[in-house]
Amino acid sequence: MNISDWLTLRIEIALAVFILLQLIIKIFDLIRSNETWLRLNIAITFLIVLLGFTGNDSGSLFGGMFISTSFIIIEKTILAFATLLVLMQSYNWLKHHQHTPEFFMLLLTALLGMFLMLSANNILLFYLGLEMATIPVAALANFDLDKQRSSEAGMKMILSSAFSSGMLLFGISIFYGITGTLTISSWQEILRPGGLEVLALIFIMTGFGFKISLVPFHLWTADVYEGSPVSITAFLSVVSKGAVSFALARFLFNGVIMMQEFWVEILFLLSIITMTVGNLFAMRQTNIKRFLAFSTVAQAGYILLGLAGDPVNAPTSVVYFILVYMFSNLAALGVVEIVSFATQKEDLDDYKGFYNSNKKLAIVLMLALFSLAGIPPTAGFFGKLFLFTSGIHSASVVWLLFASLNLVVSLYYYMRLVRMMFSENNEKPLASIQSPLLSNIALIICSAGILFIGIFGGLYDYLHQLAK
Amino acid sequence: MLTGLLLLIPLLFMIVSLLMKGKQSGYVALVSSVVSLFISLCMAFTFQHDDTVQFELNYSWISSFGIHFHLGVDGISLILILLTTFLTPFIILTSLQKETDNSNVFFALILLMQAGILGAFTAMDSFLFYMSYEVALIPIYFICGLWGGENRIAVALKFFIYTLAGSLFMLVSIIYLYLQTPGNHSFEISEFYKLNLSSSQQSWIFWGFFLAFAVKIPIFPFHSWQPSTYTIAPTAGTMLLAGIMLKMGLYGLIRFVLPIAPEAVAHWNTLAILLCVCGIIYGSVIAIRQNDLKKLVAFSSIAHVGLIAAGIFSMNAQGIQGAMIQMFNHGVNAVALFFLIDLLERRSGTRLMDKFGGIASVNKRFAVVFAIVMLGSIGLPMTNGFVGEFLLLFGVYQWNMYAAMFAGLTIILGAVYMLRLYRNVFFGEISEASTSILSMSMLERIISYKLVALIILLGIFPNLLLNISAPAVNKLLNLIAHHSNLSSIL
Repeated sequence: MNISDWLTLRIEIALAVFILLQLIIKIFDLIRSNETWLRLNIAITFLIVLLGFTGNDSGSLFGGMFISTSFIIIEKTILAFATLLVLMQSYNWLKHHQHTPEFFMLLLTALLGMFLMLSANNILLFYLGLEMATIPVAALANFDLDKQRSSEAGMKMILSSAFSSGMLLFGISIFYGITGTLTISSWQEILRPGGLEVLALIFIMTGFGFKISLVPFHLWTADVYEGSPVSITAFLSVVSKGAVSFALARFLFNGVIMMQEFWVEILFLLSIITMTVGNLFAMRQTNIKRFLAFSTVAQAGYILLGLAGDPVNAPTSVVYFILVYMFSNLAALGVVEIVSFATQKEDLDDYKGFYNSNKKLAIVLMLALFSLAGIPPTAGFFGKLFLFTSGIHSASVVWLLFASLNLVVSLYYYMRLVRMMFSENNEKPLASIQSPLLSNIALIICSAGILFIGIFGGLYDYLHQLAK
Repeated sequence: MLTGLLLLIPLLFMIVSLLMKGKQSGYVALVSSVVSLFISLCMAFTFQHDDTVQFELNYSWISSFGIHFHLGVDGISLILILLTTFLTPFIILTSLQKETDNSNVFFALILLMQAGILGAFTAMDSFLFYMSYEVALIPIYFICGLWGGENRIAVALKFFIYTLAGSLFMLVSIIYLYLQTPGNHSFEISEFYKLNLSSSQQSWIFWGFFLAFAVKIPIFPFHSWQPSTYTIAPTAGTMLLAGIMLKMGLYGLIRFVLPIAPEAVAHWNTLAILLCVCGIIYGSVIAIRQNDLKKLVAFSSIAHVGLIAAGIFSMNAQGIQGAMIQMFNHGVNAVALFFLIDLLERRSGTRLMDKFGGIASVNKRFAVVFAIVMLGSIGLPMTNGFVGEFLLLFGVYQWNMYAAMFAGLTIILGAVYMLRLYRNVFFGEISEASTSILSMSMLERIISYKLVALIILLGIFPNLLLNISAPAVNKLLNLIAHHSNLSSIL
């Protein structure tokens, strides 16, 4: 390996070194204060984000097992940035936690797993990355150590992900049997639609479906989101989901592009059920974390619509959407985290009159909900628009119609929460909350993202160019 | 350049106004609106009276998607720009008359709305139009939801979801048209004009746009959000809605529906005009039964805009020119009426008709002002309303005599409800509420005299406006004729 190969791997190497360093520091107990740990890790994650902007990105390593392009680097940077925001928001919670260092190691390991998964051109490396990205998060879901619900969430997550990995592996092994190779990009020349191929594809899609919580594989989502600490809910719903969506896009367009006609049909079915069920359930929730959980389930349905595009527009629109979705969802969950930490209240009804007691937080939450609902001129609108226009390429009219109707339905429940915040009559209104500085900065970044990403159209052009 | 300034000024002053406190923010907003007025007057004076698009500004926005930040002004836009910039100072002055909580946010929202509306009127790119159309919706939602009257949150939400859902259909139509454009695709409106759509395609496009604009205007039976929203909104909000915002829907009909789907309009306009005429009669009849003054004007507004929409759908020069001038006039009249009703309400604490009586003997000046505004709204000769309604009815008559007969009821029924209002409020015994209207302040006098002057001026010299829009309207009609020729050859 020469120096440029090392540079291709620079983000992963840096991350691995940092994780090991932290382990050593922990073993020798060199840092005692939780706050120092937090600052250190925020700095590390920031560094990883910066690394994404350096140097020449394309290359392939280890006999083509590991590939890297500018587009993949952008995806990684988005994930690292989302992790950074999650860390900033969890400052309050982690300050007094007894296992803070372990938290960071698990979180960063999961991130490393995602990076490997995204760069993998070998299906086994891909699988290892995926597992590496999942198992630590299951441990993290259990991180509210004295809460039973949190243990339940951890358990549910590990069981369901084990099941889905089984499905995935089964599909993978069939593909390996057909093609005789583990290299994803060489599959596209060999795989043609046929009975066995279709069976394998269904297994693999089921595996993916579990990971991005598509209906009917979503049953674990709401329980896990509700039981986990809010930071982990944020990490799961943005970073994990984003990473698997990117991976799905790469798999579909690099590995099985020749079966596009067939997988578009699968996407169609999954997408309309996901959107509809997600929306209908979101409407009925009383807990705000469950509410957001189901709304993210519905959002995944739109991502599938975007994937029904051509090989350039589909990945571009998905990456753009995840970026936008990251800002919107992290803003919403950030506010929920601040409120839930300060008052232990997580019911939708508690947010009645929120605007009167906490103007700034209410405005941030409102922006986030606007963006999730896709109301112009917020970034969420542009995200949805690009997904739709990408999907028009091969989506049927029924699909588009379902998606549009679901947009209207989701508009209703997002706006219902906005309405609650601005109404006045609440017998026990939330107290005025003093939010910590780092959380505030994270919320400001998210709000700025929601407001300006869409309006500065150059970003989409940039992604589009990289995807070519 | 001027167009860019026109959008930039309210946005910049919006930020300044947010940083101010109390009345100061209102004064900042006032300065901004006067500067905008000045800019738009500069445009009106340097405007070449022909059918070209002037004061253009064109930047690439999202180039891989063919979205441009393309602004421009032709005769049709200019009239509506003038309407917006003329009315905004009055709206801000009205709001300055009373104390508002969080007034910095309130005035900032008004300015944001002005920017959004001006963006919609100057957009030459359909995507930009859609964006501005929606941007204008968010501030008015908050103006209604935060500063409105009873039950405001539910009403504002209904209004918001209704219009947003309506415009979703427009978005779908725009994306469809975008995908029909040749080559690299473009959202330019002028590119859409060049498309040769089959008649079934045109029908889909027509209904997509129609649903969006029919909710906004509102055309019967899509009006159900309108009376409650007008009633609960603070006066400034009602003025913005009735005076300016619903013109975006009418403007959209002229800018998009007529030139892009002329065959479909010709095919469907019987139904559309029927709905408009229903709205005219329905709105007028309900207005006759109202006791709440604001509600009365809200319902009369359904009737008036119904006639304007009917004129547009009749697809001839008189109808469209009438719509152009009547859009302006209706804006002026509606704002004037709401201003006077707001004055009544501020002084006496009520706006129920039966609480008043005999104001004519208490305050003659006010009675005269109200009379002139009312006559303008009915459409008496020498007032602005007459010219517009005459042209509109003439246009509808050319399309179909019977439709014009029923549409003409707007004048008769208008006289009924307006004169009934005038009799109950201004004549008869002097009630307790009426005694509070003893005098008008200096500012109130200035505002009302200016509005009255505008009403009479445009009644006598309608050509001031008609000349601006005539070439652009002719171009539009040529475009429509060209389309139908093409299809007859094919």
